[in-house]
Amino acid sequence: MLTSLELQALATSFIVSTRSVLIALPIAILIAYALGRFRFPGRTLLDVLAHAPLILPPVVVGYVLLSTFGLNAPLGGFLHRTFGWRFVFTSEGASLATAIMTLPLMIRAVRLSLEAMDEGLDEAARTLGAKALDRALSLHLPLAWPGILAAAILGFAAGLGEFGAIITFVSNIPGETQTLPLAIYSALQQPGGEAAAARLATLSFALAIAGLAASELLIRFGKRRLQ
Amino acid sequence: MIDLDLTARAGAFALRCAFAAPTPGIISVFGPSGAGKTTLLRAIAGLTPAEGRIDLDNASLAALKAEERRIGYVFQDARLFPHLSVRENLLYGFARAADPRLHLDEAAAVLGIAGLLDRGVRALSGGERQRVALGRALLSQPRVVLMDEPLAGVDIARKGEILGLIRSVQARFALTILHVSHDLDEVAALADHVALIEQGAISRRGPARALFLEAPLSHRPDARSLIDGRVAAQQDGVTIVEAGETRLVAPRHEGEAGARVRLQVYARDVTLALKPPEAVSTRNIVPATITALETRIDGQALVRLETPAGPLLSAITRDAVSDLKLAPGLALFALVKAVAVK
Repeated sequence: MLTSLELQALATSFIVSTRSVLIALPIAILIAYALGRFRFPGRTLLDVLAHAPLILPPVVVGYVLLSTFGLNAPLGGFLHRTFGWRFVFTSEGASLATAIMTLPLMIRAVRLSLEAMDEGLDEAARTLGAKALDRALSLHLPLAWPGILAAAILGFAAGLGEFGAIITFVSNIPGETQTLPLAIYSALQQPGGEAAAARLATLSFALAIAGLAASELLIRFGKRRLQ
Repeated sequence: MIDLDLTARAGAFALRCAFAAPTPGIISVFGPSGAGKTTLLRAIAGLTPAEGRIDLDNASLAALKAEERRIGYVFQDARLFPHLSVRENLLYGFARAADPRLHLDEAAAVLGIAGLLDRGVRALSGGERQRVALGRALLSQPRVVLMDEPLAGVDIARKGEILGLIRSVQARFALTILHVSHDLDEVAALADHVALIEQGAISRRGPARALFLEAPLSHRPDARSLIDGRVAAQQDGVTIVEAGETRLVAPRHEGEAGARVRLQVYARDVTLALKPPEAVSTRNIVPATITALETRIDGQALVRLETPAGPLLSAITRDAVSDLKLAPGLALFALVKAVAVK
């Protein structure tokens, strides 16, 4: 069975990942909506920036976060002095790092769903007097909900696996920022930690597969529903 | 009064349409596929960019966005919202209309969809979808209803029903309906006013009855004259219709005495006799005077007649014309073999 330290890592992972979905989902919806439905100056730049975490080394993302939200950085210092917010070495910071790393995946899931929508329905809504924001709320988002749900599950599952950005930005503190992958890493650093690492790795694997399967099923269900 | 003069582009296709027609009433734009019918409707609705004028009962629509034009568009494929129930679909435009006069209960009753309100839209039949789409458009309190081939997805058995429904809602709510179709039967059944569209331009237009008597419609193999009459009586399985200064026997048609009906008399169903024929099975025999003789593109002779029921067309062989020595001014008898009621 799991030791209390391992259970703590599981709990930290859940908290960090859940919070990261709450941060990333609204942003992913906004960006997916903007990229999917509008042409505007800076669209390509937004596309590139939003997808950058996919190709950047996670350590680099962690480093950028550290130099933005560190207590000595202008923004990090300002947030700390004004609101008392602290991201470095906290589980909130781990959630922020995870949110940024999972954003591209979540944007993709929402966008697929939005693009599967029949444009004819949008035209029908326009002739019925619905303006742009109205249509977004009454038509586009309700029709895209399977994609939005899939994005949330995918973001959660992927967030459980985040390593590089977390360890660089908020370090590896048991009970605060030590998620499952970080706990596996720590176990492997200790003599005789292989059994613990194997247990944690199996757990991670099962969680990730379950999340991915749920997300794929929802995307398919959503596509069928919109046809 | 609807008064248009607009140009639009859709890919390589250019539309340049100008016409005016009286309102309220049903205006049918008739033309082959690819003539620009859908582009015309989309331009009027503001869904396809267009330049020019769209004036409707003294309101100018051209400068408005689609969502501000208050146009009820009944799409060929209905386009009901799949995530909403029938009721929620019907109320989508209603909820966004200022000062609505037509309400859900009345619209649902008139369209015969009161029993469907709490259903989802996916399980509806083609005819039901079209009814709901029409209801949704009407409940948005539109200035004009645009209909794009409204019978395309409806099975043949239900077409007559939907046509009757369109006519009755038009009369009941004094609507202006702009309808496009490539089906002459649909146009003949609905139109008060007709415009012919060819290659993106309006070639002819006029009141339906007059336009059906003119080329090119009078030269088609399915040429017909339209007679607007009223039900006089129902007897022995037929309906007697008061048409002009006479009465015609028509196939049984539900309708109270006095109800308006439109009769269609195909030119190919009108034969001519110099003397009043005796012992024939044809029920409708009316005195007629020849007003003109023409040769149709298909080689048949087209005889134009003035009768107490109104003008009629007769398509006969040129042989018959010379045998009977037919000429303008000649008085004779028209035997109307069949009358269609819509």
